[in-house]
Amino acid sequence: MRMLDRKLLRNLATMRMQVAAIVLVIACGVASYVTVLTAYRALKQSQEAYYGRYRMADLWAPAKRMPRALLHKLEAIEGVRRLEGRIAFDVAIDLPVLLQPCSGRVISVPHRHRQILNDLHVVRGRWFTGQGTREVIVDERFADAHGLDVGDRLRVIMNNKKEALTIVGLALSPEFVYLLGGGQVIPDAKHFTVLWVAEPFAESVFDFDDATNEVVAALDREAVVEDVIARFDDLMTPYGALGAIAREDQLSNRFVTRQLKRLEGAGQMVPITFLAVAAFVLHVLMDRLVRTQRTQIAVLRAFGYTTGEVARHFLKLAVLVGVLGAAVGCALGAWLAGGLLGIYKQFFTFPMLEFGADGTVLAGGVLVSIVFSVLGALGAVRAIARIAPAEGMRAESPPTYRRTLLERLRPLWHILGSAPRMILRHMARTKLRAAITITGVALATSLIMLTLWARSGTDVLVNTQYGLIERQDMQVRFHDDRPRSALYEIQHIPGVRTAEALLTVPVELVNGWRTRRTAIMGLEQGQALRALLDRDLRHVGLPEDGLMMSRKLAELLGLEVGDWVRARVLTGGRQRLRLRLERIVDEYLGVFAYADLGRLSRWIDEEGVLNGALVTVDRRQIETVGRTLKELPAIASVTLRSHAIASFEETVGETQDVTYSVWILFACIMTFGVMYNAARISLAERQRELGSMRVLGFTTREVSVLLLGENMLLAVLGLVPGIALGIWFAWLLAKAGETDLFRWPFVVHPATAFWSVICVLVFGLLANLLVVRRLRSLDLVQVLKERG
Amino acid sequence: MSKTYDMGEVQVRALVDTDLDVGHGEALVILGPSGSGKSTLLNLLGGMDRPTEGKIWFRDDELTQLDTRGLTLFRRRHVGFVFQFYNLIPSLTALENVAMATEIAPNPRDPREMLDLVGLGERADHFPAQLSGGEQQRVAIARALAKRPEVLLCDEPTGALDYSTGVVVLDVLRGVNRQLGTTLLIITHNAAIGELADRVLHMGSGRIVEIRSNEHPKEAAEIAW
Repeated sequence: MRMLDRKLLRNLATMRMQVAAIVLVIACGVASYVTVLTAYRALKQSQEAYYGRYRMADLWAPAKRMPRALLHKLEAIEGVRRLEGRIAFDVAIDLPVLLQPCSGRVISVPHRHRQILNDLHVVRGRWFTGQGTREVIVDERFADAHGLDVGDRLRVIMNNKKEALTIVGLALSPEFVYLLGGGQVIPDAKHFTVLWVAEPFAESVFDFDDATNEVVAALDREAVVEDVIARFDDLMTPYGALGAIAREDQLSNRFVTRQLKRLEGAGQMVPITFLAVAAFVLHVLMDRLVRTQRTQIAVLRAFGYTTGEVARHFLKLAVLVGVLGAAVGCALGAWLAGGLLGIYKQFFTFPMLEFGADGTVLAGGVLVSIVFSVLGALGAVRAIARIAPAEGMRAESPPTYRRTLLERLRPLWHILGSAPRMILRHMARTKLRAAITITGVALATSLIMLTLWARSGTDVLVNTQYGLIERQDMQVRFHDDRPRSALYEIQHIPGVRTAEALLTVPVELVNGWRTRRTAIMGLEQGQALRALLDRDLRHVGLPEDGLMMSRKLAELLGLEVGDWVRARVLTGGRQRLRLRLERIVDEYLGVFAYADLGRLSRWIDEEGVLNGALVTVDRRQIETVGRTLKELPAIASVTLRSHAIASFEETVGETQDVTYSVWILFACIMTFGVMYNAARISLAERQRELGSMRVLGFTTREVSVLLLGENMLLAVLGLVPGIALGIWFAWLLAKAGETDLFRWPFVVHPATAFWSVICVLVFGLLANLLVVRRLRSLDLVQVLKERG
Repeated sequence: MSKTYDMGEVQVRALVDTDLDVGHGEALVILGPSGSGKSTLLNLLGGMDRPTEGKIWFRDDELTQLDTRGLTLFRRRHVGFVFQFYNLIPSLTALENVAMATEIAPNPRDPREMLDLVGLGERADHFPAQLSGGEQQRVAIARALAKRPEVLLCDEPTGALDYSTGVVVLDVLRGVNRQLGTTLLIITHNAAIGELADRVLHMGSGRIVEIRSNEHPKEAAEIAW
């Protein structure tokens, strides 16, 4: 081994604790990079493979009912490569174990298996026999959630008739990677599923001989999707077209794609933050190293080593730190990626989610780690180049202090004792280092804040949506429009306290080029079960005429109060309406429009009808009410509020707890790394000064205060911008995370800031105490002999 | 007392069976070459180190009975130190350096008066980096005195200074000893400084080789090296 390399290893050994702290920060950066990117690539590849192999459609076009003959015309549309018609209906499923009926979507597939669009991946069991009468293939997740298997029976209410179907297979489809039922905001495999039945059976059950109500199509690569959609809508309008949807707007795909995009974004921002902080800390450490080794460097130069050779020697050290960090980070990241994928598996189901350490990602992790380490060492290398052999042999001139700006405030300065003066002047002299510590602490604080904010956001969302806005215990949906008497029927079920009418009308709202498909919810004046609130949670009255909508919907449509919007009713008489936006409400889930129920029923020319109800129930009789409701064939679905809350908290809450703990831990490590290095360097620089004070009779405690005071002051200075930054990040994330399904409440509780501050202070103090401990073993005798 | 340093396989006997009495207000110079044990002796007397064997008394208090904290308090209340390399706090001005020491003393002297005493009243607001070596050493003396110590321990106080600056510093030290009655202990390898002292101690190989009293100590200006 060359002597310089031996020196390098010994230097590294001397600074092992500081190096370890930096390695840890780098490792966090690399780990987050590897974790997120490995998961991202695995999901992305799975998605592409799944879509490719199972022929995910490019277009969905639902209608009321159209003859199969129309398919030929549609197939002739320019850009359509392949097209299939199918029968699809929402149905209720009756499971004895479940209190209320759960809902499902029946989709027809050919009775003899051939390759189709949105093909099924049969996990267990087989395809249909013969005409497939009373046979069903169910979504694997649903079967797992209920312990169902091939051969079991399932009672499904189809076309107002209860049918007992035999499960012949369990399957997954690329259409439903993210499986969301109507009214759900997060997947709930227990209460919503997809059922595939054979075409001949579907035709007979739904009386759809030679007819279909949904078309799926694959398009040519160069097809202009908007044009194709327009042609579809034209041709299908006479048959009750609901409007064609492109793949990018398809619910499951849209959600998966959006999540992947966010994951990719996180895979860049977070690691860069950590690596940048690590680079800064490394810069400080290397800078100190070069200064303490000034004479050694000068001697090397005097011997005839070139500046380049000496610089390379120091760069090697930085690279070594980078490689160490990358090694730890890659190992940690590969392990965490498995966990992150596990979390995504709860939401996204791919039949072949392949996960393995990704060579490209690992190599990328090592590379960025080295790049940032080298960046951290550049300052030191520049300093080396400035050391002339002769000059370097002389000791560095003593540190020069100046009066700080604060001293101009004479009265204030005068009340300060020596310790605060020393602290302030020292900070003023080492501004860059102080700035780096402050920045590091600020970033760590903001990361913790952001994480805690996101977690508390879930609580705010649940509390507001389910505590304040939705007051009903159950929401009931009928299969079709009913007279008012249906409400009285429900009201008379024993256990039911109140029932309020609900009329939900699917519409497409159009404002210029902006369109949005949603539903208008008709409520009665004076109703009490759906609170309509503004941003400050104040009640907003339901307008007598015109529309009321959630802020997000108005935003999506570019509407303001007083504007007119066109509405196309997507069912029944398919009326075209012009409605005025009267009021705005704030909601975190979904995008809805509201109207007076009487008025809405008149708009669709069905005065007095309703198709749902909001129900409150005597808590002790929930079971009985559920059972009674199940017996009513008119009821399509019942959604329990308590269920929605539980599943929201289980899935979203628990997932967040796991991932967010990791983020917070990483941010705490960052705090530790930054503070530990700051304290060690501060100690090294001031050892003689602090030692002298010890000799003069200052106690260890008094001297510790100086060191602690300076570093903790820096930490506190970092907390303030950290909190501000955290709030800003939260705002950005709230904005970026806004979808039509969710709005993340931008509410920052003081507790969020409080706990962030506590985390940072605890880890900062821990780092400092580890350093301050060294003061006890300070060699006083040595201090007397050392030259300044 | 004796002091033995355990350096792994070797044991270094830095101080061997040494017995010494220092009188109140005395000016004592300890002479000896490097490694003779004079620094060890000063460290033991100043409460910065403990002897391996033997006892040390300061008035009625037995230093060798005190724990680390007790020794710190002893240094804080009774001892002033002057170092070879001054050891001023670079981030504090001359005046602040002196004032710092008074913050931990029960009955301190006025920092400004102390700076005047060492002749640096004019430079009170200068930072150490703006002062010459001799000036820094005089600030260090003012700092040591400001606590109103009974004993002033000086380790090679002129070691880093040229002759004429050294003379000024020694003159200040001797003046303090006479005017304030502070007991003065100076260790040095410069035999000429011995002429200032009431008593001169010669050390060699960890033992006191010779103790000599000066009937007529010289003034700093009268000595030469």
